[in-house]
Amino acid sequence: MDNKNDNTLIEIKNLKKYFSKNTGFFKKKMQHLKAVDDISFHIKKGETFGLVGESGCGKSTTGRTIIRLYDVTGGDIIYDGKNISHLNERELEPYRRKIQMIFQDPYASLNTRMTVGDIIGEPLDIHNLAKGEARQKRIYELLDTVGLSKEHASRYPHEFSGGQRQRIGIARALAVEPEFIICDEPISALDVSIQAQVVNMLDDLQKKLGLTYLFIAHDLSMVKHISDRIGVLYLGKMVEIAESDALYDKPLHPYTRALLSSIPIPDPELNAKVDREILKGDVPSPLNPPSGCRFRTRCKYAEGICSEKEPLLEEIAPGRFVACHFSREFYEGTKK
Amino acid sequence: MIKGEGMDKRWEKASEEIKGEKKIRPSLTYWQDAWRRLKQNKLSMIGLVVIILLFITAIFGPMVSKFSYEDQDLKFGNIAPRFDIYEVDKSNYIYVHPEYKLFTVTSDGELLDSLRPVKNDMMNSQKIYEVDGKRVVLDYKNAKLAKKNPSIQKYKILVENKETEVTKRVFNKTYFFGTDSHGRDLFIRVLYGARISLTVAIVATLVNFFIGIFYGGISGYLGGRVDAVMTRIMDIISTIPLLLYVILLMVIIAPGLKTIIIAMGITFWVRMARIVRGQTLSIKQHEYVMAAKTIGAKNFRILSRHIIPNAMGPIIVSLTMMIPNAIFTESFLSFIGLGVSAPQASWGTLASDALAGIRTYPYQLFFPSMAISITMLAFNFLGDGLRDALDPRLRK
Amino acid sequence: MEKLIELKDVKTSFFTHLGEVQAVRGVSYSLNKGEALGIVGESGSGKSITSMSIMGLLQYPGTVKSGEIIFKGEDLLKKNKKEMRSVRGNEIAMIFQDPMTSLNPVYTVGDQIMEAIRKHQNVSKAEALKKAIEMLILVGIPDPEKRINAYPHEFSGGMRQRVMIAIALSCEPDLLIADEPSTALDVTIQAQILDLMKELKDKLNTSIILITHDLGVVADVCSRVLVMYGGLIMEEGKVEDIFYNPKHPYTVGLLKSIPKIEHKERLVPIEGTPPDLLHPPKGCPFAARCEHAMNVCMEERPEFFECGEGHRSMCWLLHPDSPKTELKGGVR
Repeated sequence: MDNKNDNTLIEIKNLKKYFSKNTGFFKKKMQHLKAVDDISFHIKKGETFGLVGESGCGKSTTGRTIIRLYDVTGGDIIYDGKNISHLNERELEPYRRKIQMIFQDPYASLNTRMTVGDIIGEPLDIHNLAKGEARQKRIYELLDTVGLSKEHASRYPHEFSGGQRQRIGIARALAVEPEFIICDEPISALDVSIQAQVVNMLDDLQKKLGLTYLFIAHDLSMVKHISDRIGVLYLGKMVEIAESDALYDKPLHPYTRALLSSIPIPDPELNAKVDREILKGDVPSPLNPPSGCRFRTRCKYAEGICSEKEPLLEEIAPGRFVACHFSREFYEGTKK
Repeated sequence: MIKGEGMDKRWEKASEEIKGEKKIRPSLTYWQDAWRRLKQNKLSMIGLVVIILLFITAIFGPMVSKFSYEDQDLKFGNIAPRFDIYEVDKSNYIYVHPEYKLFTVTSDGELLDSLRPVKNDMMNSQKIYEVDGKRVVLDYKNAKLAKKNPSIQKYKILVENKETEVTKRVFNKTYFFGTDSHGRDLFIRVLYGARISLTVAIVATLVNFFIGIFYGGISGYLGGRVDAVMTRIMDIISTIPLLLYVILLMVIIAPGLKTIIIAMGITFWVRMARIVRGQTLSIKQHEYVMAAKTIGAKNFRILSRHIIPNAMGPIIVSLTMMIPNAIFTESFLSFIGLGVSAPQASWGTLASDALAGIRTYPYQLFFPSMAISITMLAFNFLGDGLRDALDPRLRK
Repeated sequence: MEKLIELKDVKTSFFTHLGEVQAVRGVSYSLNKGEALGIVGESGSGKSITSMSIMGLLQYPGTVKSGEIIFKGEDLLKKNKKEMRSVRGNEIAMIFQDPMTSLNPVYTVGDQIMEAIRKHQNVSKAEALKKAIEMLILVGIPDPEKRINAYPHEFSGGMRQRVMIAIALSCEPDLLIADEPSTALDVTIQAQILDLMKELKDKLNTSIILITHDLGVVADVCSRVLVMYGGLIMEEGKVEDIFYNPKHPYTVGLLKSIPKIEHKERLVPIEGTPPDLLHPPKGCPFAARCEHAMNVCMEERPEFFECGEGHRSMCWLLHPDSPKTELKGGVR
């Protein structure tokens, strides 16, 4: 659907992930939480694709579904030409080396009963990558790559700070020499000055090892900094995809515009000058999303057509995709 | 402000080594921290000490004792651990048994021998003995009256026709806890009972541990229909009371220690499995478990390396609390006669045997009951303390 | 400008089994009536503990070792529990980071607001109810007459935070302490809440202490800023001074390490990690991570140096004898 060429590493096609609950007592009455509802995008080799949205938009679910922590309800995940969405655990094994994940909470993503060395060495053991001395050497190598030292291998996670734990998590992900890493809000739980350290490290690793990233976050300023292209999610739907500079210079979807204008700028005078578009109300429940365009309940441009027909993601300009009935008017500047 | 040459040095850039100096705080692992907290709990420490002592005496006690649990000496039946002795002369003392038998004892309380009466004068309600040449008379004329009026003495001792008072009260040095009706040393039988109780406790616990963890872990981890079925099985098993299992088993196997252990093995693991299942369900959601899945770990690895080690806290507490339960159950079953058989000594059988003479020889019930109570209390205190010490939320 | 609250050399420590953790090591500042003061810092800076010390909400084993907190002429640290209870909620109110856990799930929202009102004001139930509904309207909750009987779980995160604000402001306190009020909220909801706080500050003339690690929030809401690190204040000044003319290496470092929308230059992080408050460094707490650190910085804690009206920085670089160093920082 969007620009594909041989450079595409992973392509997501019409991905759906629903969580179902049987609310009926005697008869089966299914309630579907449509966490991810038909989204499509692709990521090129070596690039960083940022996925942003607020809570409940489905970005974390997307990441976890791609790595098959959840089963795919519908749609396809095409990795390097192969459709991996319906493979069973055994068939997925080789992909467990190619696709890795870094988690959000540095305090929960490491098993506190294992030493750092064991945590980093576990992937090596599972995939039989190194044994004995070679294994130890590799563990030290990985620790060095993330800026920690050999002595840290025999320590336990609780002896480290948040930033250091996140590095350990990164070292674990790197142990299998992956190609593609899904970063699920990797810096949200860290202090501001440490965030910059980790982001820089991820950047360096990408250049050194030729990694491709899917960077999931809600901190828009940081996402813009690290991503080449960005996708904006709202209530399980992809509303806009663009290159990061273009997205921030000229956001087309009303939600993107509101999102960007809500970010407080760390510059008092600029901040005061900015015309804030403050959205009214809350995000609707994903169990019962609005008909047609899901954003219409909070959109100041909503008209009749918005409740009747769901807008599809269209390529308005090369590389710019927007899902809005008035996207062309916004692009040309003819909409109020 | 310091003036002079020192001043220039201050404004020099600090070297990297000085900046890099950092004190490394010695930090504790989960178990060290738990031990520290447990130590602070006095009751738990007392419980722990008692348990250790119990193990030591149960293992080594019978080895150094002069009696075995089945040695009988019928003439020394039903002798209390503490009794009054009468002085006949400087080197001879006697003890009067409630069944109106006389024994020679040392002044310290060691039993020497039972005495045969020289003459049994039933008409005058007297028994006449000879102790080392002296004439000793046991006069029990007032026995019947004493039954109605407890302030009257039941019998009188006359040495050489002179009424003698009780000399002193001594502890029984031959049999520390006294003897039972068959003349068996109660002390050693209590120690043997300890062995049985602790054996039952350990075996039952180990069985529970392995079955419970295995079953509960799988049930919780797999979830869905498998979990539902496995939980229903647990529910069904736990609805039938333990006693029923024991009785049903007795139809196949003879009553005894084996039966008790098998019956407990069938029922006790359910509690452990439920706890492990609960822990598994919650730990399953932790991020490091998800991380393990993403690096390709298989189910077995996740369960054994990630889930169970993190569930050990509640597992250990549950084990410690299960032991007093097991001990009591075994005692109870033995008490009602479904447990070990004579001459084996379990605290339950001791208690049961003691019932017959409970009014005259209350000590026979006292010691096994105390043993059960103290042991159970000790494990309960320890378990309570462990629960607090191992609770990760209280950690900081 | 009258002083509403003044802290004088407040020191707070936690006496744990490992030793004394010095969370706040001598903090002094003051807040004027109607002002919005931002306290910025990372974890371990002492910013939250300072506020808990003001409120008297320190958990065991924390205590205020020394210092004074003068509020409306009286030292709060000298008050007993009963007196503090009448101050809390009534004259000084606090809202916390996580609206999910700050509200009691078994009581309705109306009950919780009315509880706050009736505790401090001698009014009837009917009057309290009326006031509670007024508060809900004030904080922008739609359909207040109905929603007053709803339970916390029936509200979204942003709405719950509004309820928290309603409870906090129900007795019209002079001072509102907000500890990371918008960190747990989505960015669009955060904008709503910050806007609300600004509006209420003007309407009710409430002074605000806003604790956060987000410099954008500070730039949006506050007129003065304190930058804290390692239990001490590093720099204090008007918000323009801090952002455009920072005089402390830590402030400069912070500003350099946050991404700015317009620029795509590489972020410059502050290397190293925050100090261990169990063994706090004897000199300047930031020295180990500072690129300008001098020997004196490692040895002696610096004094405050004035760098403008209401602008001070605790840094030896400002000492007349120190070598001339250009602190290249600031957002412009």
